[in-house]
Amino acid sequence: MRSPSRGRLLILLTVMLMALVGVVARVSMLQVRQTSAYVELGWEQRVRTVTIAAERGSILDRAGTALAMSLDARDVYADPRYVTQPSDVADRIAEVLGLDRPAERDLRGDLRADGSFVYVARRVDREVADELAEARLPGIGFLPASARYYPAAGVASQLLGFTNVDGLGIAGLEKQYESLLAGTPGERTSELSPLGQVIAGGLDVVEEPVPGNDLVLTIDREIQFQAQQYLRRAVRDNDASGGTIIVMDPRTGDIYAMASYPWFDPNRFGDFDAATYRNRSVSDMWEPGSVNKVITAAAAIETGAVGLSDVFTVPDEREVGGFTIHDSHPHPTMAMTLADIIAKSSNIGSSLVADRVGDEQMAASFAAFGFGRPTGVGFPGEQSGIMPPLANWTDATRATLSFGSGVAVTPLQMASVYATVANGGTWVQPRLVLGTRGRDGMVRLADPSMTQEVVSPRTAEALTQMLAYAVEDGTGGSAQIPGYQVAGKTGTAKKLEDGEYVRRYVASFIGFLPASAPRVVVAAILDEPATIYGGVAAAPLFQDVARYTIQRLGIESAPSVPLPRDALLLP
Amino acid sequence: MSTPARKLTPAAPRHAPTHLPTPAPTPRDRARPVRAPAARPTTTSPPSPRRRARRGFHPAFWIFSAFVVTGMVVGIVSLSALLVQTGFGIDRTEARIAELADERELLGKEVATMSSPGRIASWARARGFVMPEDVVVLQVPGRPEVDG
Repeated sequence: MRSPSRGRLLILLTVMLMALVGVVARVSMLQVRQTSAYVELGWEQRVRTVTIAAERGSILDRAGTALAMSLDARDVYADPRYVTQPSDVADRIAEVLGLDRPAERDLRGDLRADGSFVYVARRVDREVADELAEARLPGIGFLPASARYYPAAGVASQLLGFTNVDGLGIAGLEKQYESLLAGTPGERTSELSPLGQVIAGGLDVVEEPVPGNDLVLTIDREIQFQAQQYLRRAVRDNDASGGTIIVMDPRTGDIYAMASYPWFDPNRFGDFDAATYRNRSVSDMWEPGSVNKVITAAAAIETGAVGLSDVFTVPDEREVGGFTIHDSHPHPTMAMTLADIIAKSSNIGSSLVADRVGDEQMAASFAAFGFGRPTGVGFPGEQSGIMPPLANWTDATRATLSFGSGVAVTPLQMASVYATVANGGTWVQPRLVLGTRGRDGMVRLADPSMTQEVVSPRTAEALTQMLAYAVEDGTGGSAQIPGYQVAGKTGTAKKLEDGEYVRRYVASFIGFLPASAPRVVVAAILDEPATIYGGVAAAPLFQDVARYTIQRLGIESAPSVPLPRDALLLP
Repeated sequence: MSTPARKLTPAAPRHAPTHLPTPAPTPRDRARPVRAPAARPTTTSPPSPRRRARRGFHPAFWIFSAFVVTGMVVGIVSLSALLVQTGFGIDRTEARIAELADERELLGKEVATMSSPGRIASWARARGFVMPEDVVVLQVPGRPEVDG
């Protein structure tokens, strides 16, 4: 055998050396210059961070009863690459989950699709998920999840709102207090093998999630439920299109109940019309009508523009600023005191009173009672109402505003006006949240509501007497409750559509009891009832709700306030 | 392979008799340690095993050491077993806690559902209960006593 020539050996050696130098250079490049990039790449390949959802806090009523709670659930997913027999798997899943035919057909399609992940069902009850897991279906997996459950179904549903499929509050108090209820999610960072298994002894850091706090409401579940039952019955009995009820404590601003009909079940909110989600007590406005006369009377008494025994000559219609206004019923010209005007709900009388008070004082009174600004109750989408600016007022504006036309308010704003009178002239900000409850079970009460004196206690006392008179001898007779003196006012207002008044009405009654020591304010409002008058349609609803509240809260009777003297009896 | 036996010969005295005056040491001699003159074997026989044992640790030391080592081994094994057992116990307790938490959640749900006024009202209606049509609050005549 001939030995290779020296030259060829040298060439081979040179080539090998060059290759070696190349390898060394490349290795140096990788190990020295691009170290951090490759370290990061390797880290990303084998380290996974999974978010651990925090348990969402519950929403409780004032007695600590759960109105909304979170339950352990599972998200069911499929990896279609491993689903060997999609039809059989889909049949079994549909059987366990109770899917209908179209949903089952969709599922079959999903299981045949390309890709490695598809949700089969979300927020499935744990028991159902366990049953599905026992079937050991290939390619089907489960992820921990949390489902929101509202045990009382439609009770206070518009207040509570609901969460979306990701557990995020998207309506009502669930949305308003999202950060408080949601808590802080945790994380688990693990080092995984190529097969996705945790490497024993590798990196495995768990940052525990911090559960959300519970929200304690001022709502009383029993009053809320009964108020809703009475409201539904009143809407049906009066052939109305809807209605609103508010029950609140005038001393603290605590709202015991707040509902609008129709409502919905937040457990399956998708089955209901989105219009039912609205909490109309704060999100809808209406022209209050005669219930507004209490503000005119308050301005008259507070400013001293009208004395309690001053007598007005009141016809049944009147020309103001080129417009004709009239009372709800024709009547001969009558002599009326301020109390009579309130009790008989005279629009003309109210406009005459407003003339004496004047524009500035009237506007100041409306503003002091909170018109044109939200109450700050802490509910998403609360409306401010619509109040015409003083600069645009005419004589007709002043006249119509005096009996609640030409102004728009929310039911809560109007209830708050009566709560102010009931509370001796001091406005207390309405509130829905009593406090929070931490994981330690301790309830931390919220600060007391803001207060502001709107009218003097003497004015409030005079107004209370007038309102009691309106119930005993005026339009609010249907609101009387034997054994308790009720103070309140009826309202009947035409609806405004596209800038035109139409022959559809909103009937209302707002009042409080016992008149001399008020414990509760109830606002009852019916939308488009067959019988349009507040004293006929809404006052009985007030009576039902107030009577139940008396029993529920154990409200004791109190001495009656003296009634103002009828103008006809004046010397 | 064998080697011929070595013939023992008396060793020549390395030092002069002690009664003789010692000459002044040379610098080289001064560096050497002075050895004890007597009680040194004159032959180069290997040390007997008995003498070696006498020079090692006392048997009590070995017994003590054995006890200590055995104790440590037993202790470590026992501790390890205890740790493992405790680990199992913790696992069992954690599983039980999770189980009870699940049960509590389900019971909470059941209580909330069962106490729902809507459910109770439906239940009552189905059994013929009716809401009172007209509730009358009775008033006791006379002036109520007021404290304070």
